[in-house]
Amino acid sequence: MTLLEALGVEVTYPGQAVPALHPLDLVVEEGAAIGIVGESGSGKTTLGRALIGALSPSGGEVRVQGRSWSEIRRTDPQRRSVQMIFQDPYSSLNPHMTARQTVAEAIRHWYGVTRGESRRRAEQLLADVGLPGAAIDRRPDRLSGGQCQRVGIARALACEPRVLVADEPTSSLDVSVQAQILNLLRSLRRTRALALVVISHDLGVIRYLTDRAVVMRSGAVVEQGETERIFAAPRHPYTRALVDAIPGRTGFARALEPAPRAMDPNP
Amino acid sequence: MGASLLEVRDLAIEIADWEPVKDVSFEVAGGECVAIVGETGSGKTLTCRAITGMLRRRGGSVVRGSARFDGIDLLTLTERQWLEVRGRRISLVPQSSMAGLDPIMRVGRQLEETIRFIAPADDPRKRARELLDHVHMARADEVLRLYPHELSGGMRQRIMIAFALVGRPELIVADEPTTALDVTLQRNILRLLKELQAETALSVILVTHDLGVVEEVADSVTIMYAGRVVEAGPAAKVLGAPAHPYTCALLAARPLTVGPGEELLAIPGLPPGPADRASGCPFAPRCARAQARCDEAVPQLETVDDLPGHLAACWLARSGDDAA
Repeated sequence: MTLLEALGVEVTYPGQAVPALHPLDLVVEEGAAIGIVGESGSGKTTLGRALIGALSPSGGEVRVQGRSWSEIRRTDPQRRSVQMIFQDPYSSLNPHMTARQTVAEAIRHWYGVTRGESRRRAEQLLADVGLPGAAIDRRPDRLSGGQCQRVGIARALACEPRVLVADEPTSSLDVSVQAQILNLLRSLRRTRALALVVISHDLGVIRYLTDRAVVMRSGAVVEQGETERIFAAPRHPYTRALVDAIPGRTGFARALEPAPRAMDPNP
Repeated sequence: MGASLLEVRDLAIEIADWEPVKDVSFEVAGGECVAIVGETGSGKTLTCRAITGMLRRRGGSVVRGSARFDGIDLLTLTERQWLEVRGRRISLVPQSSMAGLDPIMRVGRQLEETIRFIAPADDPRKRARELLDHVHMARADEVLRLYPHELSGGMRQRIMIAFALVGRPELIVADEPTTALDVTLQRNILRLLKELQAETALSVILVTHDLGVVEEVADSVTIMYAGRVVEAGPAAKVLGAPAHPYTCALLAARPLTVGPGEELLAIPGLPPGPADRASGCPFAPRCARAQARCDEAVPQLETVDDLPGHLAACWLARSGDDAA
């Protein structure tokens, strides 16, 4: 079943001559895990925002289970079926609310349950995402980056989504914590039958979490296919450059090539 | 690689009754690239600040140890004496490339001003252009007329390296110089550093959290955890045959190292914060192989496998123990 679908989605920001996103199609089926790879300015975050309905495309449409975002009202259940987690987990949380309050608020908003019931469910969700019990009544300033990201994930799960869009979910985390969050996302995909859309510049993250990937550059797709294939045999020169640039893959310490010149100063 | 240019011994830093850096020792030889690897709170940035004389600005103070640079003890220099060293013999490339630039002055004027102050040239403009050329900046004349906000991230980082090169230093301390950059730009900047190092026998201290970066450019590596050095040695040796469980765990936690379908081995828990003052090995609470003695006393850095230069601070890595 198709959960989320971009049909000719095109985005041009006001006052900009060049589109941030050229017309693009993307289908997210039930249980799929799709990676969107690209560097700064590739349009990957713009696409993510369009997918969750946070941005109305200038052309085309995004459909959630067949209905366009423009037809979905705030209270429709389709609204909550697509959730997002963010790159900077700290600033995506309300600084005045504890972990438990943050998740309970999302539950009350959607399910109209009692205060006590929402608190109980929030506690369960936070335990499911591995937040230590001692941390659930803390505000974001007393949580670590990894813990903030767990709260963000629990808040997303509170809406019982079908699709989770993760924009650079581990970029701001330390290596040792990054692996915990990646494993959590992987296991949630399995246990909650969640479809994942992972947006990242980190090809390692994309490879670990996704089955299919879309490589973007300057607002357009340059290559797409099975994630493993893209890694093993990239077809587009840009994809090959990206794969080759992963540090530690080739080791140019020994074979010194001249450094290329900086990019055009007036992009 | 020459003799030791910088020798840091038992450096300890205190901030508000807490020691975020404890007994850190490492050496940098002439022309060598040493990577310092650590996560948030490992003390790597504070260590760099101590050896560039910028610790006091952060409210920290050195409580023990020494840092000898070509016969000078850096830790005892006055602010006035630092003027003779910083920028001239040791330069810092900061993590945030925007922080070092004046937003309302053209790049060229800033660079010329720095040249006049640090290493006066007959024609500062010509020298500025030379420096941009040195860091492979295309259309140097045009770039010199730009304001900092008109530069892309990669260009800014090249400019910061150009600033660091003004005084023809012997040592560059680069604190996460590529963290904010895209992979392809990161590669170019790392290449540039490597090239400069080879061309001018420059020594580089590269602070990073990315073991892939270490593999690409570092000759040797010092791994820090909770303010201590836990492992150090030739980069190929430390990454190829790590002896400390923390290094092993960091290597195993990289998503690119696992095959399709395999699970990443995450390190459970969090690094200790100011409130944790355990008496044993700082990594013991997260270590899969911790034993009773790990909680009792802090293991000192010792040679691994009788290989000179490969050191680890782990009770289990000592001779006779299975360290694989």
